[in-house]
Amino acid sequence: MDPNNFNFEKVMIVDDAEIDRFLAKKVLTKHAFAKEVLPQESAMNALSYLSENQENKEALPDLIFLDINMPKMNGFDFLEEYKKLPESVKKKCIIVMLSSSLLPEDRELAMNNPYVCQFLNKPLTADKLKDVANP
Amino acid sequence: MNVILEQLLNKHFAGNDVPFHPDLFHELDILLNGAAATLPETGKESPATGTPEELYHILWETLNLLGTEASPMMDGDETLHSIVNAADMLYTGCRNIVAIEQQTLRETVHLKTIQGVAKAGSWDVPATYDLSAVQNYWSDELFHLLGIDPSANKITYEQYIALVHPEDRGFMMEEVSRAYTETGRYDTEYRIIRGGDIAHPRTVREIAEVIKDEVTGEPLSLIGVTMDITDIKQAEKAIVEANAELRTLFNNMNEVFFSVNVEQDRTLQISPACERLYGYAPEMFMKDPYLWFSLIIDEDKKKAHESNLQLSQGEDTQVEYRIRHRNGQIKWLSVRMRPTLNVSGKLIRIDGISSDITERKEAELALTNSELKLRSLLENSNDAIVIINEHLDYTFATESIGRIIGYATEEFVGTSMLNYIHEEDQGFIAHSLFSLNAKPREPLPFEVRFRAKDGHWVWLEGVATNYMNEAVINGHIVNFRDVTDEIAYRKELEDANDKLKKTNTELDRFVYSVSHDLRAPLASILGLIEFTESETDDEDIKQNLSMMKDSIRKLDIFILDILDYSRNARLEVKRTPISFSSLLTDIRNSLKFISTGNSNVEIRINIEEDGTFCSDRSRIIIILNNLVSNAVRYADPAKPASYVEVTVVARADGALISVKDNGIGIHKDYHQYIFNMFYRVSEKSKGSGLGLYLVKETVEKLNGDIQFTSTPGVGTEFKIYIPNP
Repeated sequence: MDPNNFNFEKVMIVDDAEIDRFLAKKVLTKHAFAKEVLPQESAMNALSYLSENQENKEALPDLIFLDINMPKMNGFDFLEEYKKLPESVKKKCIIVMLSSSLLPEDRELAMNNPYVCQFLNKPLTADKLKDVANP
Repeated sequence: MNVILEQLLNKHFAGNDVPFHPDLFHELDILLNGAAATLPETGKESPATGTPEELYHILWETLNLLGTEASPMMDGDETLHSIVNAADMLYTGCRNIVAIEQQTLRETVHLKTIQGVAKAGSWDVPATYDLSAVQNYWSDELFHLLGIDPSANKITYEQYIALVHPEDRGFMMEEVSRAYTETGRYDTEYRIIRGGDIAHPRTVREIAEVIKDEVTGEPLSLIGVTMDITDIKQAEKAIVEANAELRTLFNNMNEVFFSVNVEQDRTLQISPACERLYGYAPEMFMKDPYLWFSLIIDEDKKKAHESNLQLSQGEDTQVEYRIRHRNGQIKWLSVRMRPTLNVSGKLIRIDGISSDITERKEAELALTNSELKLRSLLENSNDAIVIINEHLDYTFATESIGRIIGYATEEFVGTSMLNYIHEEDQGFIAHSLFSLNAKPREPLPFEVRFRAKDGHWVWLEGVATNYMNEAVINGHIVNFRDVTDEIAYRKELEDANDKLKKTNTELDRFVYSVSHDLRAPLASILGLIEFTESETDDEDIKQNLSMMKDSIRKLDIFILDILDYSRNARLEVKRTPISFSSLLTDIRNSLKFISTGNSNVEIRINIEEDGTFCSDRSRIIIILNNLVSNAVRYADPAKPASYVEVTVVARADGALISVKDNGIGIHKDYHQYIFNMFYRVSEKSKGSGLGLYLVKETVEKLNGDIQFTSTPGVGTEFKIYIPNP
């Protein structure tokens, strides 16, 4: 893969586990998936970022990897709040669920959400990134 | 004296039309005047009547006229005395006349009344064929009877004939002429047209006798009585008709009428219905007066005997007994009898009616039996039945309430239901009563606490139904039983169940979070190992990392199996239509991510499905996932083309799934163990020992069946049947 030809400009990772943010950043960078990675350690932080930058198109991510199991506000709670953000934000961002959950209920719930376009199981690997880039 | 005479005569003149000789009046008049003048002054000559001798003479003449036959005796010195005597006699004579006249008058009135009441007119006509002859005498009643005004007192024979009904004139006249010439009398009936009303002729009976001249024997007159017998005739006709009807009844009624002369032991009459009732003709009963008794079955003969005793004491009886019909059938009879006693109190005659009451008796017996049955069922039942009236008082209760709430029916009936209901159930009761009143005849189930006699609360469960409009019931019928123990047990069970549910939910959440929390770090480690692998070319490091990966995968699969097991055991079966093709595609894809590296195993899929098969999707996935991944995992490396072939036939009645591989196979020594929990065939086994156990458990949860054949070095085939519920 051409390291200069990024799939996405900005990719946000919402995950409470530091190791997963770390791994994601490494994998995304290595495979030139994103030019810039925005790790967020909680759903609340991610929402504030999006909300703060709703008018700043440049700062908004093109893609969000969203974990489900997080303390205080989980992935689905995030999606409920995300719904309230202006169209400008939702139009730009693609959301991919990235979870270690194998519950069919979780997958179903995520795929039924209009803002979620994919559901991936951890860990994030090069193969899975290919699926995201070329669905 | 003369004053009394005058009064008597005056009375006579005033109210009497009986003829009285006019000369007598005249003579009496003179006599009285003379007497009046003479008597106060004895010995003096009356200017009007002459001497006392003349007066005496006149008195005697008068007496003679009145019928006194004695001759006058004139005693010179006693002239005055003789006159007084004669006057006394005259007075007596006059009194007799008046008395006789009064009697005649009374008799005439009597005769008139009798004729009016009897509607009989008497008459006397001259014996002649002359049509213009008029009657000698017609009584008033005859005029009335013929509808003619009595003032038209002369009627010709012709006029009379005209009153006779035209059809009857001929024979009526013949009767008259035959009486003149032969019989001297007649007694006949004919119709007359009263008042010209031909539509309603009256019938008369006429009895007449010819009066003949004593010397010549020639008919002088015809004297007769004509009676209106129309009403009598009608009454007679009605009696005849009623008699005929009675006779018809007597002959045709199902009941047998009979009369017995007791003194002579003789059956006087018995109606023909006896043929039906007893099977014997009336003649048989006539011939054998004891036949009826011999037909009574022996057990009931006593009853008949008792009834006879009652009859002999003059009492009416009604007795029911069984007889044996001539055809052998036993019949129930009801016999009502009335005795007739003679003056000395001896029974001489019995009249009675026997009727067949077999059907009624049998119905009664059946009723009694079923009543008895019902009663004993009710009394011995664990259920109680009570009736509550509109004032909520108990009007009926079965004895069985004693066993349930301890009360005897006598002390319970009449009390108010509200006395017994638990405070907390009063609202429920009010609600139930409202529903009952709103919907008659609709059973309403209930469950309430009821205070038993010993003060304990008893849970009663039952059904109440509104039969207020049913006259016999006139209330709510409530049947119930004691469910105190059941309720207590149920409450315990419910509590336990609630606790279990809570535990189950907690466990499910626990398993889920444990598995997630366990798997999440594994996934992270795996991701980092893979990333590290891609960062190095050092083969030693790569091999180490690969072994670490295998180990982590194994742990991950183990966690997943435990998760599946836990979910299979506890989650409800949720059925949806199953698409095996999409399901197997998913499985194939997920195998890529958790594969053990044997990506060279070919997965062949043959599916025959019509979309009608329904089952629990996640459980089907567990089954297929485990079997397919086992086949991939235990592929035979010695074979050039490893494969696993999944064949599915899914229809509305169920699904047949076959998972067949050409892998290493399982030795038959282990066949009996492979479905055991945590069983692993060898140390080379890469799994958790849960996979096949899980498959079997899941198949069973879906009410299916699993079989397998396996030969080491050849391969393994699992065959599964899953029904479509």
